[in-house]
Amino acid sequence: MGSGASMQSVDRARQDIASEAVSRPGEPPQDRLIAVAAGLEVEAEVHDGVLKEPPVLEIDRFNLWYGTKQALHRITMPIPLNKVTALVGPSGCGKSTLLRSVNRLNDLVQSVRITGDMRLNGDSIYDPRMDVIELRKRMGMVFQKPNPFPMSIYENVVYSLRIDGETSRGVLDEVCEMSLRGAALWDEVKDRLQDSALGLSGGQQQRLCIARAIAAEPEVLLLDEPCSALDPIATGKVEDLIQELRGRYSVLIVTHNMQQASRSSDYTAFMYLGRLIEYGATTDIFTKPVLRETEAYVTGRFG
Amino acid sequence: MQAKSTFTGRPRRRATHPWVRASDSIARAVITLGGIGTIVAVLAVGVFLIAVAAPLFKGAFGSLDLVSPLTSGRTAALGADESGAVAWLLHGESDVAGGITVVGLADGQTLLDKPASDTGLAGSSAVRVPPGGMLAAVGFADGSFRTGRIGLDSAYQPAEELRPDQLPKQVGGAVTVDGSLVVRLAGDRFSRVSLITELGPPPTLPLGGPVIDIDVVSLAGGPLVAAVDDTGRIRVEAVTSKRNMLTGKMTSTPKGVSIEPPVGFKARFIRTSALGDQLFLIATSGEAHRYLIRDIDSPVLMESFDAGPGDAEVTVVERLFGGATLAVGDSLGRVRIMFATRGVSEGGEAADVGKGAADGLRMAVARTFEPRRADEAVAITAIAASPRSRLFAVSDAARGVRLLQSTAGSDVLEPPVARAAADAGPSILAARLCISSRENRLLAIGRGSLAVWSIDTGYPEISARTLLAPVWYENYVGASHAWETTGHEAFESKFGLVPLIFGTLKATLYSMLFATPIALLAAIYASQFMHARWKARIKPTIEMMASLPSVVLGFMAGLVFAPVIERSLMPLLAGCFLVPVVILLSAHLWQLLPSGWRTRYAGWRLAVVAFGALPVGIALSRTLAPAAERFLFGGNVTSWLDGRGGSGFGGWVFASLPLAAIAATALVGRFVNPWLRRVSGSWTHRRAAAASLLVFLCGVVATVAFAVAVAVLFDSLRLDTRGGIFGTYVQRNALIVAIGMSFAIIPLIFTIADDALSSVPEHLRSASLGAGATPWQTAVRVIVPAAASGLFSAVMIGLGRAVGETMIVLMAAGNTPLVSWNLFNGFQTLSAAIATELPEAARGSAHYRVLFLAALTLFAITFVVNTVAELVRQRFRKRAYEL
Repeated sequence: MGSGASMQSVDRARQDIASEAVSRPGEPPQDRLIAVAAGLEVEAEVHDGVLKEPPVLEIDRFNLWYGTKQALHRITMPIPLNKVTALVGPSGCGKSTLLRSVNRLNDLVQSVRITGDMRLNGDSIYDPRMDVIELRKRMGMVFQKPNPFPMSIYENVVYSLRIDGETSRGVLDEVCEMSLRGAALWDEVKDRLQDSALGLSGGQQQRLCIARAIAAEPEVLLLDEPCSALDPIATGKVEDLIQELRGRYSVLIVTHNMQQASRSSDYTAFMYLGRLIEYGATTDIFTKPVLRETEAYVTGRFG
Repeated sequence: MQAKSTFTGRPRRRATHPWVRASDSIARAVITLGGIGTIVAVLAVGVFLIAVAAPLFKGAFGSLDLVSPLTSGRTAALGADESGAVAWLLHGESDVAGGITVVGLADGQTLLDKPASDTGLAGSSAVRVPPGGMLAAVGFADGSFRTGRIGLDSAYQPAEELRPDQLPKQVGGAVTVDGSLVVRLAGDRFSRVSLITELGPPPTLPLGGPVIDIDVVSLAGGPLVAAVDDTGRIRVEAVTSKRNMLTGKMTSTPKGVSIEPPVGFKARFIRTSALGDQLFLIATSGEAHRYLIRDIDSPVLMESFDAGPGDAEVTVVERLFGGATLAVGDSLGRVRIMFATRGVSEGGEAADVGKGAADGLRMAVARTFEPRRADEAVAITAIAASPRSRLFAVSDAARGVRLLQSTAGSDVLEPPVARAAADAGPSILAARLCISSRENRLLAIGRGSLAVWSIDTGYPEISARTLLAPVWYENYVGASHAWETTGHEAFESKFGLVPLIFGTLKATLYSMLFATPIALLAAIYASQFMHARWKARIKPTIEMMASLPSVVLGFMAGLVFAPVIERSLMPLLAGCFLVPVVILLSAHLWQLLPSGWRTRYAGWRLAVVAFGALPVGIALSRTLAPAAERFLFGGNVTSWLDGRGGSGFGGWVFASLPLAAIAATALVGRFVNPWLRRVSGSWTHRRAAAASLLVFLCGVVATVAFAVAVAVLFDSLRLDTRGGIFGTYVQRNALIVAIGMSFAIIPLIFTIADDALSSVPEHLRSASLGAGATPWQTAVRVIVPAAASGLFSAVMIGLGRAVGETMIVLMAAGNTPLVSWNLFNGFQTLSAAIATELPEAARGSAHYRVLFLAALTLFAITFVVNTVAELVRQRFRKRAYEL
């Protein structure tokens, strides 16, 4: 079980080591980043604006190890309610790991060890008494690669209702339509709901995954680089969708794309080598970041 | 020229090295050759199988060699020598009556003439020389009769002992030398053929009138002869020999008995069985009586039967090879094949002509050969049995000669007829027929001529019908599928492939029913739930199981499991239901634990099931088995299965329990669980778990109640599972095979299914788990459907193994070729039959070729299975390929 996942984690750990070793001649000095690379503790720069928002999810001094390799270092950040929060940072900085920690998908990786906690609307996520199944039902997750199930479009959307044992055709139909409309896919697929979801294009598949996620009425929507496998047009559609979800859902999105983060998020967190570096309102992070390192990253001078 | 810039400072040679090219083309040639060679080899095997099996279906062939005029009038008896080169004729009419003439069959020349004065056959009124020997019985007009030897005796003749002019020139030719004959055989060999006519002593008591029919069989002590005279009186005489235990001296005592036939009955034909225990008396009218003459001093009339249908008259009666079957020809051109069967056939077919008798036998007509065309309903004039098979020749008054086969019920051949013989008209009524010992010559005599055919009968006992349809074999109660290939010399081989095909399917079905659920569930568990560290150890262990030689598995199943299971059958049956119930119960009870305990000891759940629930279930089964056995099976399950005691109740309970359980699960899943889910929204976990336990217990009770209700219903309708899926318990049976075979199949299915399940992309699993599905829901709803193609392949590969498996079924199935679904009965598969019988089958014999046909059938079955599997797999794959 999970051998693929553990391989990934090993690769990720290797990448981390590699990125540590690479020196970048010709770049401006980035003290914090060098300090981070050297393994020193660095205090995150969290803007006050973030702290004032009512949080849906609170990440509290969260550490995570893959085996002996620490992948997340004392992450402490609140995720605001009904806002879009973007996680940015270079490859291997732990964004996806953090996201997967939120709904405890990292439990599947057998070498993972954590300390610290996260709270979803005040409920401790890592409490041993927490039912992980119940927890995951409170979050919707969309992955990097579109991953519709090998079943019909309809069954994909109502999957979360099926596993809850919902059998009423009326409820299922309604949820299916609402979710597909919510994911801006209804008009494209309404005539072929019973066709295989695998026949859709990549962008449609990703929106279907979003429809599947929102059909479950999650408290938080977790998007893990949802556009990295899509072409620009499909990306644009998904971004439009995120725009529409803004204000109604709490969204936590991992992205490599600075434009995407700046366009579609309310708050942005910059991570580097498993540490939170700076976290604040998106406009502040992109236009007047506190740290030079953040500025260097968001303007594309490294990363 | 510009200086080249390089990345590594090393110039690269761009021309491909000749050696690389050479090895490339060599590799291509070798691979092509290997690939084509494999295909050719596989095709060659198929072609070889077909080539060996195909001659079974080639038709018989006959050609008219000779029509030679005869001037001597009626022929009383006819025979040929062993090689079929010369024939002898016993004259029955005119001044040569009682004399024997030997005729060369190559040219029709008379080679020897032995007048009646030398043969001692003057005044003979009935002569019988059963085919295949020289044993003869002769009845005389004065009422006496004798046994003796009449025929041509062949012996090897070294060519050196003869002058060149004494050697016949052509193969099959014969020359008279010093009162006997020299016959040239194929390959420059010669045989010395001499005419034998010896007669034994007269009977202890002769009959009163001229003997009109006589029969003789050779028994251990000496010949047994039965004769009837023109007044219908019957005399049976036999010589019994006893060896003195002290001196070793044999003393022979002739014994005889006169049988008083029923009043008004006058036998025209008299025949005994080859074992000399039955005597058949048949009148022209068809009235017939069967006597038991096992004790010659006191013959007992067993039954009376009708040998001639309706208003037809019986014209000929002949005993066929094997000695148990009579072929009865009548005046309407029909030949009826009859023998005594044991017991009463189901449904009381019209073909049964006898009423059944004290010895438990009764005469039955197995089949009737109708005349070729209805308008040719003319009398049968002669029947001659082959001395080596159930082939026989029949002649009728109009069309001449036909070769028939009694087992297959087939018209083998109608040899071409010369105009002269065909036009002989009514005179041919006096015909005599003879099939030579090697079935290579057919002789027929009408009043005017002798006709000789060379024949090649092929394999008349084999046809698509005898291979696949039920056939009424000698002494069987009715038509049935049978495979029985070895027995005594005159044994009727039964080449029905159906029992073997059935056995193969039965082995496959029961093994798959047993192994597939275990293997697939194990694969799901291993791929979805098991800790990677454990899996890394357990999977190779299970795969090693696959490498156990099947002879070891067969040995284990047949000699280790079989006795154990025979002893503890009832606990095993009880365990089939109690163990799952106890395990499910333990899972429900686990849910009742305080939640802290549950999470803390989550890793020990399996251990609790394995070391707690499983032993408890087994112990419970052992404890409850005797009570269940008393309640359901009248105290002893083995004798219940045997049909002794008890009612059908227990069997129905057992048969309907699985179905009831499935029905209950479906009902609970469809109606109770959704309702429970609705009302239990606000309940605590413990309360919900308690409710679920209650539902489970109710389900178990309902299942049992349903099964009992079904059992009561069916039992009251007098239906019984015995005779269906249950029946007599045999130590080596389908259950044992299923268990043994599962050791071979489970690792195969498990490992392929596990690979298929593990190769389902991780992102699907993450998506499902991320949506809040439990691991079980993920496995059932996402992983299994996505891996369906692979799982199907796994099952099909297991199926392929089960179909072709030889050693396990050979050792554990009992090798009884029965057609019965009984789980507790043995069977024989195609593969096991081939393995056991091919080494002892004579090359080129029907048996040998039928075994090759069995191999071809097995090949066809696996081919169909694999093709269907591949087609279905492709369908599944098309659905899932975009993953």
